[in-house]
Amino acid sequence: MIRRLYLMEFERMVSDARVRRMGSVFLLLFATVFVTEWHSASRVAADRAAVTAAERQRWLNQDEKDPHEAAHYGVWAIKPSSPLSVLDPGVEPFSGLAVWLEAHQWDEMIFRPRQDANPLMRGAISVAQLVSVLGPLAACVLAFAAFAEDRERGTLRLALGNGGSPGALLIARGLAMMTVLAAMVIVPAALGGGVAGRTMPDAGWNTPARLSGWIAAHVVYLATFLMLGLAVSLRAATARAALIALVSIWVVFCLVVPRVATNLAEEWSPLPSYQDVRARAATEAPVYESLHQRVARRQSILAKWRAATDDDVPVNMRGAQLDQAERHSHEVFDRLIGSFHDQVETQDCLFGRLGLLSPAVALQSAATAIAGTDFHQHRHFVNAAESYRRRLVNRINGEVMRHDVAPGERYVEGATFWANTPEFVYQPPPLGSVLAAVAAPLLLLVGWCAAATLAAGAALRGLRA
Amino acid sequence: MTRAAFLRLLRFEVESFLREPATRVITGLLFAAMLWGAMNGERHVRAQQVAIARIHLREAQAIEWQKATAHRFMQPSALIVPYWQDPTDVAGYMRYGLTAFAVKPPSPLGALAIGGSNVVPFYLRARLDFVAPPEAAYEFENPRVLSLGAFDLAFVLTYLLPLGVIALTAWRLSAERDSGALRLIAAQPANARAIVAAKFGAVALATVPLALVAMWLAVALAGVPIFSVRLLSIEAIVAVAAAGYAFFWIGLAACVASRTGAITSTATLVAMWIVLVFVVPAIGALALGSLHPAPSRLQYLDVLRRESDWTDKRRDDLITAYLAARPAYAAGAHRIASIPYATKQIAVQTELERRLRDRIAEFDRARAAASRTAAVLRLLSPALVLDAALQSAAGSDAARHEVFLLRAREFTDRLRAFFWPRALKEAAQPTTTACNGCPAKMSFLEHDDIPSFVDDDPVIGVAARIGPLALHLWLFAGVTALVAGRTRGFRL
Repeated sequence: MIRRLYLMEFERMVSDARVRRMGSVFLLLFATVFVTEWHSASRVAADRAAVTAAERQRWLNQDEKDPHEAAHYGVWAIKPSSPLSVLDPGVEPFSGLAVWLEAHQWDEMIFRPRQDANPLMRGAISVAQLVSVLGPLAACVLAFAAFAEDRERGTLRLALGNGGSPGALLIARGLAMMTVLAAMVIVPAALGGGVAGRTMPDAGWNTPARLSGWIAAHVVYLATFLMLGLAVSLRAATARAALIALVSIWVVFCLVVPRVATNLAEEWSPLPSYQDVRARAATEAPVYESLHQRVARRQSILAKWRAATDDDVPVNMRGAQLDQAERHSHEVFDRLIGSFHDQVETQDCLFGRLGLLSPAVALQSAATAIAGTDFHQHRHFVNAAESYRRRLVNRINGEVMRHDVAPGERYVEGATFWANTPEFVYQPPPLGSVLAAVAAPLLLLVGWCAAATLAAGAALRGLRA
Repeated sequence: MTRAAFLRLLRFEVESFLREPATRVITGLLFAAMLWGAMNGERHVRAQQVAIARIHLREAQAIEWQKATAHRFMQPSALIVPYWQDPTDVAGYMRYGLTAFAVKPPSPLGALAIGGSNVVPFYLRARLDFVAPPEAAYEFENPRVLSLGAFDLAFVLTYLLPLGVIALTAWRLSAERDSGALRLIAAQPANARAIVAAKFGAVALATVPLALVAMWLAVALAGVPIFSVRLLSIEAIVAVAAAGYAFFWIGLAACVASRTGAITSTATLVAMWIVLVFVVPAIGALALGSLHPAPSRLQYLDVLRRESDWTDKRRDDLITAYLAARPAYAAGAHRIASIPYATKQIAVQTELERRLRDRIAEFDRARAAASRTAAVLRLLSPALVLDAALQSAAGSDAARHEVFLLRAREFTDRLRAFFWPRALKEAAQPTTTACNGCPAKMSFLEHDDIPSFVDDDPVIGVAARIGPLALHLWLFAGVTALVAGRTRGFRL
């Protein structure tokens, strides 16, 4: 019976001109947004590959030089974006693309795409925004009249009077609407994700699994709004009242609460001034040490080796000074910058938990993580690049320490040394660890869907014809 | 219908509208949202003010510390001080010691719209060497916050105010039409135009002043110093713009609700809101991105590295040619080996900038072309026009930032004009240390004369910039009022 009802409802909806118009508008928007984003992301991916290869060549083709000079020359690491950033760019437009890995400094990621763009570009919407903001509205538009209009017309009384089961009707209508919604919103997004996955370098992002998870999260999210819509339609006295209630719910859940949750997260878990953090790092581990610091460092090295003069130290004093200063800076950076990044992640975790206030917040937190475009994964790259920088500089300092040179001589390295330096290769975090990090918002999303389904069930039990 | 009768009807409608519980609830919610938005904006402004105060303190402390160190190094001592640690060595100082910033202070009305001020840098450290890219410095904001957008007053006025208007107006006449009451009203001696004018005019007369009072009250309660004579003209124009925006939405509601039933009216107005607030800006952004794609920063990085390699390898040749071409410093060309790296960088930097000039100009050209197109595209949506007006009033707009970047470059040029001739003179005719046995070079003692950045006045010229935008919003409002006033399509 449910199958027959489902087919009837589905046919009725598909033949509805308003639904067809809405679907066409959605498809047009999807196609336009996806093609633009895909084109732009493909260009960045191609540039990344070319510049990364050129950087490696530059490193290999260095002239003979003091290895510390090579550490200053450094290398640029460019972040490989997840192919799903085409669907869900997350924080990518607001976080940097490239970082310079050089001696003494933990540099900032630079080239934030939005910083370069005209402010009008902030109005740009992504496929994820289409799904997460306009998708629920489509669900509300499909659902508001489902029962309320029938009640107003008297056809609901007729249907139930003829022995129709309200439960079967709810399931059939819900499934038919979900099918239409999926065809309008989910299928284009899935196709887009598939195209992005096939045409862009995967670079270890495990795109198929991530795409499946991203789609699943959005299906649960849209089902939540659909069930909410049906619950309201079952309860509302008139279709007009149902529409007003659902539009209000949409405005609050999808537009207002995400920004409110952002504010609350900032208020309850504030970040210190980054400028202050950076200034403290520069004071505690300056790139160019003062004379006083340099003298103190030399004394500590002499004390370490129980030596009276530089010549008594069994390693190159300059190398030892560089090495000690570098290792000291690592401790300072971890304590100050690392702790700042911890606080950003704590704020993001709190935001995810504020998914309790709206399914849109839970989705935003979970979906960007699954797509590989949240701060947690941005930081993963930043840390990987920084670890590589430290290994590189430590290795170079180690070589400088090992090579004692006579006064007036220079210790230099050449092609073999450069070739023996491993290349920076980034491996994104596994999906399992990412999902574990967003377990709370994912559970909240499922919880919202269950609550909406229960609400629809409760409304069904109190159904008045 | 006589004028007196119309005024009686209008008065009745205003009183009824104000008595409706929905009016009080929606107005109350909007005020609460405005207050929160204004408080968030003001908090952002204060955070920037604190950061700027810290920057100025850092500059002052650096100078004091350098002067104290210089004084110490000017006493006889056995210390050997490398040039990059000597604050009295002009070459070392200009490259390693200079601590100077260009800052963009927030406007007193910054709380109106956070705009782009949380994306673009509001301070830049001046470096005489090329900084790649110049906008590398920025105060970190959680990128998730940036991607979701701020809950500021501009968000409330641009996004939520129209929804409030729709909630208050979508059922006017349309619900009466659905219930059949409109036929009764029409049986009275009032024509269709008068009915529409009274119904929606009442909403406008009650809502717009309420919204404006709520807006400025929220701003004042958030701690913004609005009672300042120099801000009055800007505040007045912002009020005119916000009123025009509200009138536009009321006019639009009058066009739709007077011709359709309640459901269609609500759905149509929400759809129009989506189109004007989401779809048009999104299409505008897509069009802008397609018409004026920003040149690739990664390709620029590649070129920068290539050119830097080229100039670095020819450092000595470049400084020799540079000095030889300038008679005042030509003597330095014969003592290249003793010229410090920092001074040689003057020639390297000059050549590098010459070689990158076209590349950098590409970015400037693309940004300028995008700005011109954006200014036109913005006019397509009243939401974008209001947002632009609020950002300009708040000093968080792109135009002010462009000026800031330009002034920051000029500041770097002023610093170069101050330091470079001194460093070149030192290269040509090295200072003979005045103090025997002192480690200080003493080629630079004018720490108090270093040029400092002069902050701009974020209020100057704003009224002239936002005036046309306010007029444009009234043009939108006028068109909707005209369409609403036409009785064609009005049905009972």
